[in-house]
Amino acid sequence: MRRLSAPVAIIATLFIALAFTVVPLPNWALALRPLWVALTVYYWAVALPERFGVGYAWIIGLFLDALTGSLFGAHALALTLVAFVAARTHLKLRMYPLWQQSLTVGFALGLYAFVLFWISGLTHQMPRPLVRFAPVGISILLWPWIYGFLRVVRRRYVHT
Amino acid sequence: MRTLRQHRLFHSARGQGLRTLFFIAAAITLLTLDQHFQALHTVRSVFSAAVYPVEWLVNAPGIALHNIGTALQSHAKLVEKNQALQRELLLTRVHVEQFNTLRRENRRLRTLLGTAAELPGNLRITSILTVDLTPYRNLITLNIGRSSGIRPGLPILDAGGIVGQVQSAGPFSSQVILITDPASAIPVEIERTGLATLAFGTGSLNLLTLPYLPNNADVHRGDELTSSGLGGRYPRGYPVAVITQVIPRPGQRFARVEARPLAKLGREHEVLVYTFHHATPLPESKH
Repeated sequence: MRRLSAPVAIIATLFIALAFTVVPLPNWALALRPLWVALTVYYWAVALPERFGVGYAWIIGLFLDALTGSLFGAHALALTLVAFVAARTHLKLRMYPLWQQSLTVGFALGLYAFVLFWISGLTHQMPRPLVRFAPVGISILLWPWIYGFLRVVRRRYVHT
Repeated sequence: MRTLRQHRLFHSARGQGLRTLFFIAAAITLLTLDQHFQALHTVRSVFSAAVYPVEWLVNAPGIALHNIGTALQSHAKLVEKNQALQRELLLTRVHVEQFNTLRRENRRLRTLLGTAAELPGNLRITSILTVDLTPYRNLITLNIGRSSGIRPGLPILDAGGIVGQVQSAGPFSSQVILITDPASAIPVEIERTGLATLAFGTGSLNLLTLPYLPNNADVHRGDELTSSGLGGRYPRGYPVAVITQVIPRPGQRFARVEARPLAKLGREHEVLVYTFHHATPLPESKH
């Protein structure tokens, strides 16, 4: 089987993550949408730290800003921090059991949500804490599956 | 490739901190530029063109479902619907005739008074992309953009009234901020009395607040609010909302007044873009 190069796999998974971020959901489920892009960025920053650095996270953040209509740079800032935390902890993370990984992910995503919360506060919007932080919880619960899926993608398709 | 592989397990984080700081600084610069100077129309529009495939992909299943739904409707139902529409069209035509007469009369009177007549605008129908944007904002995405003449600031209407205004326009899609968005304020007047005030969004699709009405203001439940045209963003005289609650607060300067928007926000698939020419160009509309 011909293997894809790392950038193709990274771009494809991020494309899907971006699409999931704007898929319409019923109103009651809005607070339950996982932070798809942050999770994917986190995974690639942990799995291929020499390929996927904070610069990529920053650019993806700008795409996410354009897609969701938020203040330009908000998601770029938040994702840069996610990628930084991931790069800092990636060696430890590989040793952790899954549940402990989930907690570490929770820390990075908590930071992500907090930065976005803070920026919307600065721009005088009324942030609703539940809508901001519930997705972090959902993402933590989902992490084992995201991790499993992206690892399969990496092992099968990424040529290193 | 070899060297990369050797380093893979123990990738060094040297320089990472510095690079992170650089990107954080760059992000904060962008935030400031966007928030205070609205200087990023071009950059945003480039990124918005790049994410258009995502919007298109997400929207496609919705369109397919809609088409299948139309194809599966029974003949009898379609005939019934058609007849109902015919009747409505007839009634609307009669109203339009009356409206045209009034408009001619209005123009004549304005000429007599020597005041500037309102410039006529163009309406065009466009559909909303079924994509969800940030849950704490009230934004929608239109399937046309700069290439079809959409520019930031244009008002968006539907059959009920004013929906919102274009916030940013990419080449193929554009984002509209609804009047119920927490960051939105629309200049309105109470139709019965002509009292002008502002209506603010709350983040909830069926609630506007009017925080600057004094306790003794002449406003009642059921009063209709129309756009006052002040500020130049929204055209004058279009329905905006209807007052649902007036609670005087004797201890404070202003009463608590709430209204419900008349446009079908969040339930429409199609809206109208109103391109009208401002008598004097707005300072913000330069790019």
